[in-house]
Amino acid sequence: MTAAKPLTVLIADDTKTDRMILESIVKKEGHLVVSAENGVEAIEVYNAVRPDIVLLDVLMPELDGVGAARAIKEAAGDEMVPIIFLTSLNDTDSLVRCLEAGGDDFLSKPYNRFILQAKIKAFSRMRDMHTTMRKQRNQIQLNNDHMLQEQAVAKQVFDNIAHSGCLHASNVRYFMSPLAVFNGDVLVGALRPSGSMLILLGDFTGHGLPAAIGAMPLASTFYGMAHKGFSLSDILQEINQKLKSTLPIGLFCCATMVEMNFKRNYVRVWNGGLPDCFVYRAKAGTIETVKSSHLPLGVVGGKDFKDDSCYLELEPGDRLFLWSDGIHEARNASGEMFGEERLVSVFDKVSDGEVIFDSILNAVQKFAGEGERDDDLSLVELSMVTPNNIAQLQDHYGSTSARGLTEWSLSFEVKAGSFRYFDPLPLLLNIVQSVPSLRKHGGNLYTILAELYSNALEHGVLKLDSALKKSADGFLKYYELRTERLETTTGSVTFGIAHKLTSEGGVLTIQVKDTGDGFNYKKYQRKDGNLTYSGRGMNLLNDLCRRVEYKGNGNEVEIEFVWQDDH
Amino acid sequence: MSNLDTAAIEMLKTVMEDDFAMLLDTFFEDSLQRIADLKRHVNDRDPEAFRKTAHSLKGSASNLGALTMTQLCLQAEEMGMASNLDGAENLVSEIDREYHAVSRKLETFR
Amino acid sequence: MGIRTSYSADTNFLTIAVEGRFDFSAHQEFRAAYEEADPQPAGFNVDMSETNYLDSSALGMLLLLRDHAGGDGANITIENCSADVKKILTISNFEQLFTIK
Repeated sequence: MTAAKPLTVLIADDTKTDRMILESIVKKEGHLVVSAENGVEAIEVYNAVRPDIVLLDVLMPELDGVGAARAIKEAAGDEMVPIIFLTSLNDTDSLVRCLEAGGDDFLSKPYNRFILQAKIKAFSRMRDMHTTMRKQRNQIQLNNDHMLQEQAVAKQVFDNIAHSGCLHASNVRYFMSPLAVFNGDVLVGALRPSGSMLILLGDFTGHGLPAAIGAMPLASTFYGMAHKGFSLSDILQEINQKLKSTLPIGLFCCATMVEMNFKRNYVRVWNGGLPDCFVYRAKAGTIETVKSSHLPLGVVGGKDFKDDSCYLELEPGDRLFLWSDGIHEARNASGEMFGEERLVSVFDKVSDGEVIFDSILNAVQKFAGEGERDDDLSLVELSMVTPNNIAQLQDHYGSTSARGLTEWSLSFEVKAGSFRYFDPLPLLLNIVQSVPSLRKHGGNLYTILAELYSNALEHGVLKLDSALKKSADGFLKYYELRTERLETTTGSVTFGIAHKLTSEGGVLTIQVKDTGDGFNYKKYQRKDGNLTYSGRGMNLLNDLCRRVEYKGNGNEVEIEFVWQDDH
Repeated sequence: MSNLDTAAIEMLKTVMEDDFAMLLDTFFEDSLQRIADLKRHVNDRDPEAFRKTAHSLKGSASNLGALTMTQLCLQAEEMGMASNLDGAENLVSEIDREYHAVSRKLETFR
Repeated sequence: MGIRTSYSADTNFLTIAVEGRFDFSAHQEFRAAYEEADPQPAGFNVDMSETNYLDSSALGMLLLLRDHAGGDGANITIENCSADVKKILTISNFEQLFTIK
């Protein structure tokens, strides 16, 4: 009868008779035997041979079994070495000492061959299991280390994308776990060139890397667009589209996005899937809620996605509170959730808006208990106060190219030789549209530029009379003359275009001057400066522009095109 | 008086095979040494050493199926544990006698 | 947690009942319930009468079911929701995608 796998068994006993008997029993099972006559020798042999199982007599000279067991267990470290004490001990104290020293079992005299064989088999199996477990545990540990390292790298990438934010603005307070992005929570904030602030708090479905992956395109889209002056709805549309097209179905992002306009004291709030956010009115000490009225980001694409936001007028000192569901779902020891009622009662208890933020955190942490600090907790407070570090924040963007072209002017002259071959309109339209908010007005801007240019070229430089076009013959004549005069003209058309931002949006000014004779515009001029004259596409221009003004002897015209934020 | 568990001896013989004779010699050698030690510990009035030796002798005696000798060694061990060696001299003599009786019987199994 | 399925008499509808917590741990079973349904029904009922908790990964699973059942053309009813479950569906405005009873 031999075991499947021979083990090495250490037998330590100072009585030679007993040792001999044990050696025979163990050898009969097919195992290898190493022996020791006292505790010190047992430790030496253990260290030299590293046996699989140790049989230790309790009473031995030099060092007894208890001392030897301690030393062997310590030397074994992580490895499992079953120690079986050999004894006929009949007092409990000694048994307890043996167990405390790391003894796993006892074998009493007289030795029974079958019992010993059964014990060795059982411990051999246990040892194998332990070895497997240790291997798996080490593998898990390794995998976990690896994952943490990957997370650190991923977090670094995310931070690099998100670093340009304005979350350190003096009117923003937030609490988020440092690794929140791996819980699916993401917070981004930026100032638009106009000085209004955009904040987005998102909560992706799931945890870990899948949740963090979605945060990357969200953050890069947000920052890329906010700094260029895109509006809340433009950014939401773009993020939604990006998430919808890149994330697998089932992965999406509940989010609240806020725009704060400090000059006109209003906020716009869009909530898709996050708990109601609270508006704290400082004077009255009351709260209003902004409910989620949209699907989360990344669920539906195209026209099904709705970007309409809730408009609220605030007063300086009012505060907005945003949160992911981590606060509502924080649980106490008995599994109960914090819930909205407790959240509301925090607001009821405070008399000073300043302390709400800390009161909420304290209440949640007290409720959940110290041991159960939830990593999912995300809280953001936005105060309706122009950040006192706004200049510094805006400077920060100014130094990056991300801000885009928003304040500029140009002068552009088309000279005689170019009229026949070159159309300046696409080039100018392209430059004008470098202002993001002007992009959606491309059609109107083209119309304006085209009208102004053809007036300047045809009536100014080429001195063609629009009255000609009233008859069919005249029409033909008009174009013959146009072609003819283009060959010989020496005139030019000069554009002066400028754009600047205002608190509501921006103003585009276009001046066009030609080398022609002009016309007597003064007789058509109304009190407001606009003309009642209906030639030269004036109706259209008056319709599209805030101001159309002729200057000089009528060879110069200046128009203003105004755009508003978010409409 | 001497009491030997013959079934245990037969089992030992099966386990030890050719080494059984050597086992008997070792037992005799061990036991004589331990009995001499017991006498010395009584003279030295050293109950702790007396207890330990009695314990060891008890172990090997039980392994060889020497039931009465095991019993006597247990009494000696308890004496040592109680730190009272009164009458220990007589007990050691008794162990000595029992050992000789047992060893004669054991010889017959060789 | 447990998922049970049953067909309507004409096998046109498959009812998937979710018991206990409807979260990521139900993922495999919930998915198997509709993917392995044979025959594939024309519509699905998700019975939440025994569901006591719903998290965002469950919302994701409902979206996967919707996609499986034809996306915008899917015929899915979520029924017997408790107040808590209904609140979570409402916050996410899922009534725009599902019929919720």
